[in-house]
Amino acid sequence: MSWTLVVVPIIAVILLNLPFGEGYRKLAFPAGIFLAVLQSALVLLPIENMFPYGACPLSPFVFLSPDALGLLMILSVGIVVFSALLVGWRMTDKTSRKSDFANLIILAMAGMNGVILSGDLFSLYVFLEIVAVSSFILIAMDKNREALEGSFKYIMLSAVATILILSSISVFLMLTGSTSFSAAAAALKQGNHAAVLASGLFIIGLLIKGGIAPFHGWLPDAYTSAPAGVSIFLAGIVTKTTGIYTIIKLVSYVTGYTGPVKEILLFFGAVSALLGAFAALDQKNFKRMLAYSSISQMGYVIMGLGAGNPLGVMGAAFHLFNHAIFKTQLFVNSAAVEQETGTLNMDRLGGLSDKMPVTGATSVVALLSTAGVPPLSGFWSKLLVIVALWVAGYKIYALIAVFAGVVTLAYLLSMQRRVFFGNISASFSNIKEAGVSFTLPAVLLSTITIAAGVFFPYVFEKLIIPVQALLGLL
Amino acid sequence: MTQETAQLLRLYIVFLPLIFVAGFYCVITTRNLIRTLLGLEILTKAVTLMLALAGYLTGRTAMSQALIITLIVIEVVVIAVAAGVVLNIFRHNNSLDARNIRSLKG
Amino acid sequence: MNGLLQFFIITPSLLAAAAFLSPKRIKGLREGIALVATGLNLYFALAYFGRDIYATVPWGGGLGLDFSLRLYGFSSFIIASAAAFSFLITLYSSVFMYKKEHPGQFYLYLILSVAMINGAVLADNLVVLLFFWEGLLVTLFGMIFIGHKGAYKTAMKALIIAGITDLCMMLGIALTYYLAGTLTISKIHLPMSFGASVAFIFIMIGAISKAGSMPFHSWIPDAAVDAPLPFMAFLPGSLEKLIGIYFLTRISLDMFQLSAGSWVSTVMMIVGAVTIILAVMMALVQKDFKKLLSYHAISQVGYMILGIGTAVPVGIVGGIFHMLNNAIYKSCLFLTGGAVEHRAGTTDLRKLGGLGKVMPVTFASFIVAALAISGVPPFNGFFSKELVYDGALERHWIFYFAAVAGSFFTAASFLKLGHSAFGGKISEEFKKIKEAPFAMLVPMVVIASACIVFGLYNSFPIDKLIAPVLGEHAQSHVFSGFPHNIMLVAITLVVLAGAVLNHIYGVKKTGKGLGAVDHIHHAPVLSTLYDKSGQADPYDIGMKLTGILAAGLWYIDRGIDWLYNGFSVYSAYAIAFVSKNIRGASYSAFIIWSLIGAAAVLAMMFGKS
Repeated sequence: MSWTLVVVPIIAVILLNLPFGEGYRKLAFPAGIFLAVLQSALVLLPIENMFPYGACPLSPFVFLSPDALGLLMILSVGIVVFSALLVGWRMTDKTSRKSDFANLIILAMAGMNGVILSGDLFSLYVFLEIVAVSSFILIAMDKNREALEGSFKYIMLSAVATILILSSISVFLMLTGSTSFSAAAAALKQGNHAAVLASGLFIIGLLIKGGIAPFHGWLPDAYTSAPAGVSIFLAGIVTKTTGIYTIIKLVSYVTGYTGPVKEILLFFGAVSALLGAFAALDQKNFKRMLAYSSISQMGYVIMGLGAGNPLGVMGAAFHLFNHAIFKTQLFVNSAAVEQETGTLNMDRLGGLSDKMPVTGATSVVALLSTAGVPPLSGFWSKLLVIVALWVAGYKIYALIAVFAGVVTLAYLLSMQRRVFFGNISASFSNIKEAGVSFTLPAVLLSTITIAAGVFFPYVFEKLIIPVQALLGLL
Repeated sequence: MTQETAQLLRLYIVFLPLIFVAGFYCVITTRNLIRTLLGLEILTKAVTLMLALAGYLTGRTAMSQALIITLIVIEVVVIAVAAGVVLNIFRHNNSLDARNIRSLKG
Repeated sequence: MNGLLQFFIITPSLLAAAAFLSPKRIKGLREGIALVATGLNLYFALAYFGRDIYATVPWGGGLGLDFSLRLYGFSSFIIASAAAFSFLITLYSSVFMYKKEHPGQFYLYLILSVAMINGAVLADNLVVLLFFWEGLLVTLFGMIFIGHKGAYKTAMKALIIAGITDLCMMLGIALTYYLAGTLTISKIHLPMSFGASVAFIFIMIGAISKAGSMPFHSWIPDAAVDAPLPFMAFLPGSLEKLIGIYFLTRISLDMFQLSAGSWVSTVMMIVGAVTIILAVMMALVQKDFKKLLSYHAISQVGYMILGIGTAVPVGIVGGIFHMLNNAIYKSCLFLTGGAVEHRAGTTDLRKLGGLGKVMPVTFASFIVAALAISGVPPFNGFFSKELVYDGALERHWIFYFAAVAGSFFTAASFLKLGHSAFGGKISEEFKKIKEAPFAMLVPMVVIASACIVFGLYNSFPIDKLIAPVLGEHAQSHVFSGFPHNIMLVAITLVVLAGAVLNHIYGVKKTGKGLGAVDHIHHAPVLSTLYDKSGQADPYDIGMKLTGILAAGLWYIDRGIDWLYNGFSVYSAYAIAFVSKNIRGASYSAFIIWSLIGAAAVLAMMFGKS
């Protein structure tokens, strides 16, 4: 009954928008929170085969039962949506916009679940578009100059990606007469040149959506100019699901971990890791630095995938999950800072850790996890990726990953120093810690980071080891 | 492959890339935001043609039609949203010049 | 798991959490929990002493990431020593920290450090070791951070230095894994090929940095001022040396086959000798009690590294014994410094004086520890230093010379310290202060007596605890008892007498104890050495010029370091600028980049198919 994960949120959105008045529409918030928490809880319950495959009524879509990585992603979606809703609801002003925000998030959640669960190429495309359209509107919601610009740039790049993906689907259709994963995989196995072209186009489209360099142009602008709750949502899960996770799915189910594919992943992953890290060094805007950091971390995930061995896939999957947690954490903190001080310019901030202790402390936890310091979860996933690269024989890429890690530490420490340590400027002498809507997700996310790190053996056995299966699907 | 099919294919192979190039050219080089959207539409049509061709070649015209209709619906939504964004940009800048939306740098 | 895991790792961690979370209202609850935790730890350490236990929990899907622990002679010895120090320092802290800020966090970090150290020492798997080793970074940072408001700068400095050297250690461990094919420490015995030597050096960097050697030392004097004083006795004073030198010994004896004559051994000896000399010279000019002690801590590590680096049995035994002795007298010295701070309120040597009359027990402990660190017979320092001298001389006279010179300056420095703090005239405000409280005296006296005991009965630690570490290397030697080489002993006594004479000369010249070594400071060659070693702080220079990139820049060649530094900073910023702006500003630019990237992807897809 995996289709319920998609259908229920959609029905919820429909029900929540019935014309019963403003107050009724506000129910979108508790509904969203409920759905997100439900989703996470269902994944964590120790029931075998929680979401079995079942034909979805009234729809031609094929919904698979989620594999190990899919479960991890569903869990991440739930957690990030929870955080984004809490922060976004608090930070949006007009009530009508608040409900719009919540509704769009729920819709996007449905779309992402669809991406995770889809069983053939075209339904994948449909759900990618659902998420994309919701994101376009969400970014531009406040209708200020920068947000519109960021949204428009995202629309343009996303449209190009869509075109490429659709071309790919039509070529596969031409070759095999069907859009299922297995038919495409079979066509590729035969070495058909057109099939190779099609898979290449699909990968390019997904790289654009995932924000991998050099296709990343839209990402810093979209993340920075979006309203706070939307930034959290985008950075935490949207780009990761629609871009990176879909690449993993494509490579596992359709193309296989062949030489050219691994080369592409390794090369562009390394470029992203380095470019993102270096570009983040010289930033003034808090969110922009975090956006480039996302590019860099996704470079790591793609490199881990490109290593092509079990360790690499597991490291990539775990890093994807960890990133959802610690990047969301950092964006929540930036939202708290923005809410209290009204600025994100790191040159003007400083010394906030006295007035905002929870934000400062959780930011340190997220920082250490991103930089890969034990015993936090980021250490393990980074270690897995680096070791996987080394063991697979890609020693240069392993060294690049380590080097990018050093640069990561540099810009993160610089961020922490400029925002939370140092001297506080006079205009900020009256700020307080941000409210529960900010501190609750922050503490929750930090706890998850610490727990996933400290209890790593348990997490590893239960959630990560099954991901290896992705390698042997073809 | 019958003669008809061969002729059709020849036409397609000539014109499809042309349409794609035209679409991309339009999107990249125009300064008017509305024209950009039109360029997107052109690209969408190109893809629609590809899907139709696919349906014809494999004989599964019904499936192809279903996919095309879904595609058209989705693209309508996307263009509507994009048009909304362009409209708001116009309200801010009082112009449709694409050079006005280059302010986010670095 | 035979109780290893529970008692040594889980119990302290839980009690640490309990100490942190316990309510502030119940006075003394936190201190009580800490005492219980360290006391239990000591009990278990003694109960398990000398046993041979090997326990493993396999997980990780057969990737070799087993959680294995191993208790044997050497590691049980280290754990017992660490446990003893932790307990005594906790006792001391219960008074010292009573009125200071953040006691909850202090005990949390303290007990957690004990758990981490137990884990790291017991670890038999390289990844497990790394896990606990890195965990110490957090407690290190935390303990300094709570010192006072501005302490975060030092805490960051410590974190950065420790973090980078830990990164080196990680590289070394990765290389070792690659060469040895296994992650289990007890199974690794690598001959010193070039690759193995490189791995050894990288791991050595991590180990000696933890112990506090140069050039990774610069956070220690700052921490002496910023962090709470028991922290100095605890981590840099004793525990970090124990664990750093423990691991250095493991890699020298067990994991790699360090031989006398390999270039690695020479490098180690040079690092040790340089540390001894430069650090003790910097100690000579300090005017603050705590800073002076911290420079000596750095200097003493040099003896340990020199000893182990000689790769001859007598030197190695000396190095390990020195590690133990140093932990003993160094922590005693820090505790006396803390007692002075507690009662007199200051550690500035210019203000102190004549405290010997009002704090006799503290003074007595100080004398014992100072004599021990200077290497005066029959205290423990004498015996370990003689062993190190013997080993150094066997390798090359120049190292022996450096070690003896270090002892000269050490003795001079402590004569100066003792004279200015405890001797001389007492100023008005201090006439009324009392001796330190009982809970602080007990640890001091216990530790000071250990100096005497381990000196006179040195056969117990040497034969029972340390020689077995060497295994087959040590068969033919007897190390305990009075040193064999009477010539060396004679030289040592002459050097010590020289130090006393130097002190008397200095006092006559400047009229007070504090100036006793000023003539050394201003001597022709030595003053240049002072200037150079004052600048020889990679961290400071890096921090000044780079700001952001301080985390990544260590340079090798001192002569061109300005050029190199400037170039690295410039190029990093240049790369950052390019990376930021290359994507373009308009969506058209983005699309063009995407098309270029698309062409590259397609080229790659068709490349090898």
